[in-house]
Formats: sequence, structure tokens, C-alpha cells
Amino acid sequence: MTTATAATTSLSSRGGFTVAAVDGEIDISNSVDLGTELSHAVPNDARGLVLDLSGVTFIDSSGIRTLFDLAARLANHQQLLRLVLPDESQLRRTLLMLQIPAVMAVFPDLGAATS
Amino acid sequence: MLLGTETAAEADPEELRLALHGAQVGAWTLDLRTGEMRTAGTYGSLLCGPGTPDDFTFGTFAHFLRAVHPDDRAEVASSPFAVLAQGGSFSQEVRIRWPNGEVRWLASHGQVLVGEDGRPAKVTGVLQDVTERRRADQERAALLAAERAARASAEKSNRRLAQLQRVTEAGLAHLGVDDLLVELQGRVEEALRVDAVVVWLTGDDDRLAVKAAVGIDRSTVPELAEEESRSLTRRLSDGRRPRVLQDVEADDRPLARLRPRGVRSHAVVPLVVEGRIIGVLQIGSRVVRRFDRDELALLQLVADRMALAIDRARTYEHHHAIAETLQRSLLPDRLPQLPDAELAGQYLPGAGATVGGDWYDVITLPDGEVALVMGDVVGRGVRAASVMGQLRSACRIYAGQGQGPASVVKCLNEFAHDLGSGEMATLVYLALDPSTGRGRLVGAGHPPPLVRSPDGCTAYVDAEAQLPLGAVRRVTYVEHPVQLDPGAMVVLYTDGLVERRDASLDDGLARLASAVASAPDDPAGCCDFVLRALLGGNPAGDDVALLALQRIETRAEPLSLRLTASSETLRSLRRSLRTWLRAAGADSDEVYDLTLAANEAAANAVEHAYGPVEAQYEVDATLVDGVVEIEVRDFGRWRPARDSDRGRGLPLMEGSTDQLTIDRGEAGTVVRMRRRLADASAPPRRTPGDEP
Repeated sequence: MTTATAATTSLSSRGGFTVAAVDGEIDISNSVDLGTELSHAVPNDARGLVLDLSGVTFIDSSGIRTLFDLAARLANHQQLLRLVLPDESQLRRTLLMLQIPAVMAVFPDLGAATS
Repeated sequence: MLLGTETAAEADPEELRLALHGAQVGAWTLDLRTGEMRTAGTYGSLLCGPGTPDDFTFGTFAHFLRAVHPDDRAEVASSPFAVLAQGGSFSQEVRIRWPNGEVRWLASHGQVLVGEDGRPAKVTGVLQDVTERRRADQERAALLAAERAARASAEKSNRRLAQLQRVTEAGLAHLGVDDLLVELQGRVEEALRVDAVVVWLTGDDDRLAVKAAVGIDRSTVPELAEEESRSLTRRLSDGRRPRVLQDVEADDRPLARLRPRGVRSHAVVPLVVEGRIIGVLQIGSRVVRRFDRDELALLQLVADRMALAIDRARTYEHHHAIAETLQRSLLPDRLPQLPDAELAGQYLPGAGATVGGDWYDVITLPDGEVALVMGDVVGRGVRAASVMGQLRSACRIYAGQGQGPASVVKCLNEFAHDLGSGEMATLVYLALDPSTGRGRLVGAGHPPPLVRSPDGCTAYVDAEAQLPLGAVRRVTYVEHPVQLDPGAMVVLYTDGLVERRDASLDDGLARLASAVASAPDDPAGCCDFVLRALLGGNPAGDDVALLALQRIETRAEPLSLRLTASSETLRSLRRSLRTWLRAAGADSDEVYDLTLAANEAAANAVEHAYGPVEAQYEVDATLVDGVVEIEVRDFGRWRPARDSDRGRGLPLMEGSTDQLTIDRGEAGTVVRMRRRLADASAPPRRTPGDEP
């Protein structure tokens, strides 16, 4: 039996960025842990973090808050936070409602985000 | 070298005469002091032909020279004197022309005789007719030359053969027509060192049209009219045998019509399959060039090979298309609409060239049950697809007769035997009553279905392993009970989804379970998600079939939930709400937005809940006249909203609903959200219409 985990993260590196691909749902049960995990995953010499949300099927306001916090933390180290979000993702409306694109760059695919 | 003495010639004259005649040898002696020449033996007939008297005396060396072939005369004239200068013997072969014109070869061996004064006095020698030997030598030399030429030609042939093999190798067999042509053209270009290779194929209207061009821009190739095409085809077929034609700088006017711009010399050869010209292979050179016989012969061989390959590839594509069409036609193009369940199925052909034998089916049974069938015929190609089709039809018939799962599978097993082809198949057959969620499962050598409970946990159905269809004729299959709760989903699949060369089956099953656990909460979304997660967008080596059924609660009945105020329950809330919203007729954006809004309200309730006893919250959802209303209530004592934290929840709720009210009272907080569905007139259920 596999228990439903809300979200899983896999890490890699590409184009000088740390790439984190998150799958599943992000809500108040896991958003804080996710933020901690991600901020520790980025070494100081990386250009920043590319967060691939292609596999995320739900994100709530706490998840959005995590993104803002993460962007602020990375900015302190002169590092960037970039998001990957396919055009057809349902998350797009949520991100727009909360002005995410004003704070961090959103790319339709990983290739564009890491170039 | 020893010099002979004059006395050495003083042998018995009669004995010498006989010896000379017997050996057909002529002897001569030239007196260097007088220039007189004495001869003996067959000297006369050797020099002047048969019948010349033996005692015929030429008298002087000058007479002898007259008989010598003019071309050899200068050399012969100098020879005795050269020998004298060297003071030794000589040996030469000279051509003699008889008075009748016949030319003979004579071998002449001579020796200087020294006089008593120790100085050269005479030269004496013998002549022999060596014409026959010379002829034999010449023949041998000719033979040798011929053999050398033959060997060179064989080597050339070998090279040609190697080149030919390059255009006939088996590795090309699996290419489609287009790829194959480009590959063969490249090899022809290389083997014949030409600048352009063009393949023309005959269309239905007999018109030759360019199918593929290498080394040259297609736009430089002229277009042929029907009549021109037919006339060229007639010339190339030459009655029965195919012909190679070439045109060097427009010396063949009609053929020059075919010449691409920039090409100065070109040759064409027909592509013939079973006596029918299916096209033309053309090679072209940008410099003036006449292709030699060998090159045209190779072109002919390549064309034969290419014609066969095109024919085979066409047949292959034809078969592949038949098999795939057959298979697609045997998959349900629409799944049935069920009042209490939602369905989605997907079939992906494998990356390989042949089609597989996977199939799935959903059969509505007489008693209101539905049968989910997932099968996999061992083997591939037209044969597997055809066996699959027969099994599928048989399954529909047995199921339609109202037999139970074990009986249906037992009959199918016997049917598979009666097909007599030795084909085996694995199968899962699940008969389910969507209104109660009760089901009976029979597995026949097939990987077990996966069930996802409403809380998102996944588990494989732990059914008995039983024999596949067609293995043993008499098998009694047993049924395994299955219970599907409202909102739960059952997933059937074929092994192509979970089997990978580089990983164990257990790994594959674990990956599938984990993918289904985090997949979207509707069958179509789940199938898409699972295929993407497990295959990563690449076609699998094997074909893959996937079928998911989710039990939904009675549509549009008000939803009423009471949940523990902990963050772990939010996920379950979202699942229930999504299922309910879809049943209420919400489209996917509406499902997402309303779930998001309700989740934000519930998250507030969870975060504000505190107290000595376990707090709870309630969620109600109703659909009235196309408007969804969702109410989220908590019972905690009111606390000031921690706006710094939750500040972003409010705009999300507002942005996702038409109307939002929040009442904070002593008893707790009530959040009411309303949204009119875009298509309120639509049937209250999404139709599962996007399946293959």
C-alpha cells in the first residue's frame, strides 16, 4: 500500500541552476517543509533555483506564500527564483491572482527557464 | 665464356647432316675473313619455306639478312659483330619472312670460333623454327593478360558487390518507405559518385512524380505530364526487359525532359516489381560524364534492389496500418455513460514497428452491473490483433448472456483453445455494481488492478494468481470480492505500463501505485497523469492500455462533510469536493477554482482551531438552479484573523467565486461561497468523451 503523499520533490542541476521538480499537491500540511527543503537545496554558487511546478496539481495560498518567502531568501544571496509552469496548468490562474509574475519569472518549460 | 676453336666444327659431315635434319635444325658458318657463309641441315627450308633444297646456299650474310623480317633486320645485322666485340656466343629470336609472305620465328644461337692466330675467324650457329613455341607463348601471355584482366574485373565486381550490399543490407528492412529511399539514395550517390539521385514513383494516374531527391533541390526537377511519363515508361520497359537509358548533354532529347536543372549528364533505370514499372531511379552528374557499362549495370542492380525494398516497405506499411486500424477499431471508441461512475481509457501503441495485442473494454451487463475488461494477447502484429479481436467479441457475448465473471473467463479460456493457434492471453475481468461499489474480480495471469480509496491511499487487489487464457483447456477460475467506496477509483492496465527492461516488475508496480496516489482525482486526468509519470512522454517499447473507473456519489445530492480540524483532512476534503463538483456539472476550471476557495476557507478553520477537545469543521455543498453554494463552518471561539499569514487566502477566495461572505461570531466562523456554473444547462455529468 502506498500512502498518499501530498508532494514529492526531485532535485537536479542544469545551466548553473538547481532544478527542483515538485509533484503532487501543495497545501498547509506541507508548504512550510517544502520551503525549508528547497531553500537548503540551493548551494551558494548556484545562479538560483528553477522550481518546476509542471507536476503540481494544486497549490493553496500557503504554497504561494512559500514561493514568495523562497524568492526573498534567494534574493538575499543574489540568487534568482524561476518557475516552470506549462501554459495549460490550472495553477496559472492562482499565480496570476496573487501577482506572482511580478516577483518571479514564469517559464512555460524547463529549457527556457534554465537558459 | 669459353671460345670454341675452328676445329670444333670438324665433325663427321654425314652424322652431322642426319642429326641436323632429325632435329629440324639448320646450321651455318660465317667466315669472317671472306664473308662467305656455308649452311647445312634444314637451313634452306627454314629460311625460305618448305621445299627449298638443303644445299641451297645463300652465300653471304647479306643474303641471310634479306630473309629476315624488315623490322628485325637492323638488330640481326649487328648481332654477330656485337658478339665479336664481346668475343662470345649469342642467342636471339628473329622473324623471317618467307617468299610466300608467311612470317616465322627462328631461334638463332651462335658462337665465335677463334682461328689459329688466336683471333676470331668464324661465327657458327644453328637455326630452329620456334614459331609454334612463340605462338604458345603468346597465347599463354594472352591468357595471362586475360586472367589478370579477369582478376581485376573480379575485384571491381567485388567492389561493386560490396557497394551493392550496402544498398541491400538487412538493416534497411525496418525503415519506412521515405527513410529507406533517402538512405538508399545516399548510398547510390556514394557508390557511383554522382551528384544527384532522384527517385520517381508512378502514381495512380501513371504520372511519374518525384518521391525523393538527394543532392539536389527538388524544385530543380521538372514535372512530367501523364503522356510524357507513359512514353518514358514504355521506352524503359523495351518490350519485356528493363532498359537503362542515359543522356549526356541532351543527346537524348526526350530523356533530357527529365533532367534537373544544373545536371549535365544523367541516367535513368526503371524500378520494376513483378514486371510492372513502379517508378524510375535517376542519377545525375553536374559535369559531363558518360556512365560506363559497369556503372549502368550497378545502377540496374541498385534499382532492382530499391524496387524490391519499396515494394516490401509498402507492403509492410500496409500491414502495419491494417494491424493498427484493426486494433484501434477493436478498442471502444466511446465508453458507456454510467449514472454512478466515471470512466476513462487510453491506448498507446508501442514504439516498435508491429502492433501489440492489448485491449480493454467496458461492457454494460443485463443486471445493471458493468464489466471492466483488460487483456493482453501474447505476441504482436496482425495475428495478435486478430486474436485479440476474437477474444473481445467472445467476451462481449459471454458477458451479455449474464454469466458471472468466473464463468465468462472459463468460457474465454476454452474459446482461446478452440482458436487452435496456440495463442495465449492474460486478462482481468471485473464485474462491478457502481451504485453499491460491490464487485467480483477474476485475474488470468494478468497484473492485479489498483484501487485508490477516497483518501488517496492506493492498494493492489490481492486476488489469487490464476492461469492465463489458452494455457490449459479445463480451468476453474475463482472470483475475488472487491469493494469500491464512493469516490474510489480502480485502475486496470497492461504490463507495458509497469515493465521496464532496467527495473523489476515490483519497481514498476510501486511506481504505478505512487503515480496513481498523486494523480488528479478524475479518471481522465488520472490516466493522462499516470502515462506521463510512468512513460515520461515517450512511447513504451510495448503497447500500453489503461482503464480507470471512479465511483461517484449520486449526482447533485447535497454534500455534507464533518471533518477533524487538522491539515491532513484538507486533501480528503478536496477529493470529495472535486468528485461532487464534477457530478454537479462543473467544468475543470470551475472544479479547480471552487475546490481552491473551499480549501482556503477550510485551512482558515484548521489554523484557527484550538482547544482541549479535538476541533471539527463542516463543509456543505449544494447545487441550486445552476449555482453552486459551498459553506464552510468552524466552531472555534473567534480569534482575530492572522492577516499577515492568511492575507493571501482572501483574494484567492474572492477571485474564485462570484460571491463571498464571511460571518465571524462567538460560535465560530461561517464562510459562504457561490458561483454560477458556466454551462448550467448541461447534463449534470461530464461525458467521458475524449477516450480513443
